[in-house]
Amino acid sequence: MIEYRGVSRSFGPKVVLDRVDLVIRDREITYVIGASGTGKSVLVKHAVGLLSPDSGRVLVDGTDVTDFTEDQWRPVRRRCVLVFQASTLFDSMTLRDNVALPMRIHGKVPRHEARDLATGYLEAVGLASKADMMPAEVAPSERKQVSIARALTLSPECLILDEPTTGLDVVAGAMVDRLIAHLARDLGKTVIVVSHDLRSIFGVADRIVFLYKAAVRLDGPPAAFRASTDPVVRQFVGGEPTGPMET
Amino acid sequence: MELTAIPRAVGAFVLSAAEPPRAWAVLLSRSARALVRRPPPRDRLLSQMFDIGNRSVVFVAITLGFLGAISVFQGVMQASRVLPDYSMVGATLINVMTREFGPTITALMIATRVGTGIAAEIGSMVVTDQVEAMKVSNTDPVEYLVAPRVLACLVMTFVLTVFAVLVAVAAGALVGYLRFQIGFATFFSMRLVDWADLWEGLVKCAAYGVAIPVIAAESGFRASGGSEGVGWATTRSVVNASFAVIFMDFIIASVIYLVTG
Ligand SMILES: Nc1ncnc2c1ncn2[C@@H]1O[C@H](COP(=O)(O)OP(=O)(O)O)[C@@H](O)[C@H]1O
Ligand SMILES: [Mg+2]
Repeated sequence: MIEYRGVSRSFGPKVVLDRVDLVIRDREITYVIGASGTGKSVLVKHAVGLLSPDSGRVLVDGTDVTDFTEDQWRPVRRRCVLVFQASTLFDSMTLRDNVALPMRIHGKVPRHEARDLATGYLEAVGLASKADMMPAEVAPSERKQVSIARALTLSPECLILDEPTTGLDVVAGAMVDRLIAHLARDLGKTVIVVSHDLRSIFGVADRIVFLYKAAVRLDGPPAAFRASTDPVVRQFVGGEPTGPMET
Repeated sequence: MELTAIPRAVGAFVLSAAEPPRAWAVLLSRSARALVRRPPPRDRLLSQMFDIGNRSVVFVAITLGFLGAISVFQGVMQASRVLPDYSMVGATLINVMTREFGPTITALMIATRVGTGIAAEIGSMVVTDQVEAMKVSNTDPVEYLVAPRVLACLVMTFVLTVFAVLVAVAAGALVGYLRFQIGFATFFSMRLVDWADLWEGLVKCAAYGVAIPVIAAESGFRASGGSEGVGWATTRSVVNASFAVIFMDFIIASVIYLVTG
């Protein structure tokens, strides 16, 4: 469970988060949505200690992590993994070796054993047949899936995916969506997805958090979203170019 | 205007000017701690050292070669105005190369060739989120990226400086012999080099060798906002590192002068 209590964060004069209160529950798929530059990434980075709030508290599983040192963050970052939008795979290693790497470094697992385990994780994302290919040889959506497989190797309870379908075509996006559903439904993970991909949002989300103007504008299940009469929400959901929404 | 405006502006300026040196100190101590706690693997260290040498050796050779040749030429010109005795030209060149120009000019070359490389490499990792990705996978970017470069650069600054001094003196000797008929035996004279000069050279090498990668890495970590940010980081790196080299040169020379009289 990740809890934000009155979290504020500014960069220079720009207020990105303004007293945000939010609770992200376990084993749910929570989508954090909003226009580009509203602070979705900033919000989730607070959960893994890449940013700390100017004021307010952040709690992970009931522990106040707001003032944690880098050393204190280590165990938290094993339980909760952030997968970035851009591929952070190593170009010079096969997909299998990329997935095996964290186990070899952090799990101190021997090389051949790590490779076997890696194959299993690639299977979990449906890519076992491409294990010996290089990142450059596979599609962008497959690189994304490999990044997720790599994140799974440390057996986290929670995955945060920053814009996993941005830049992917519809079919590739749907494959990533299916993987997201699989993570929560079959593997029992907590999944937080940063997105502005509406199709993906309504397809798999248990819950949607809509960020607008440094605050949570709406927080609820997809149905509540569709039913909302808030003109800003309506404009976002409808994808209208004009309306009350300011970007 | 309020009365407090000027002191406040001065205060803000002092604080902002003190910010980079503070960041360098923090980065330096974190790298040192990482080096002690977990020394980098030898193959990574060797490949860094090879890379540093490979990038700068030609550059250093050409620059210091010409510098040695020009120094002899100028030295002879100056000496001949007083009295036509060239017997001290070689000894003077060796002295000034050992404690001053060898380390300092080499360091300036390293700052441009190697420092910019470090800043660009780290800067592009920062703007593509790779540094943050390292952090969340519990890999310390300082331990992984900075510490090996600091150690490699420290060692290679010594190596390149020794090489630079040899090239400069050889080039100088060649000009002295071909143009002014100074014999090699006369030229290669160590009589003006004492322990204090060697120490001065060594201390400077150590200071530059550590400062350049630290300053470059810090510039890289500060990069933001795409490839433009990487460009800024490399520029800032070469400006700051060069300035730091000149500044430390002055400080170290002054201290040694005060201590040894
Ligand atoms: N490290 C940073 N330094 C300065 N400004 C930042 C930083 N990170 C984010 N911002 C600013 O915060 C705002 C929100 O950024 P972000 O969370 O990345 O938006 P998004 O919702 O698209 O993920 C942007 O205006 C961005 O310029
Ligand atoms: Mg973002």
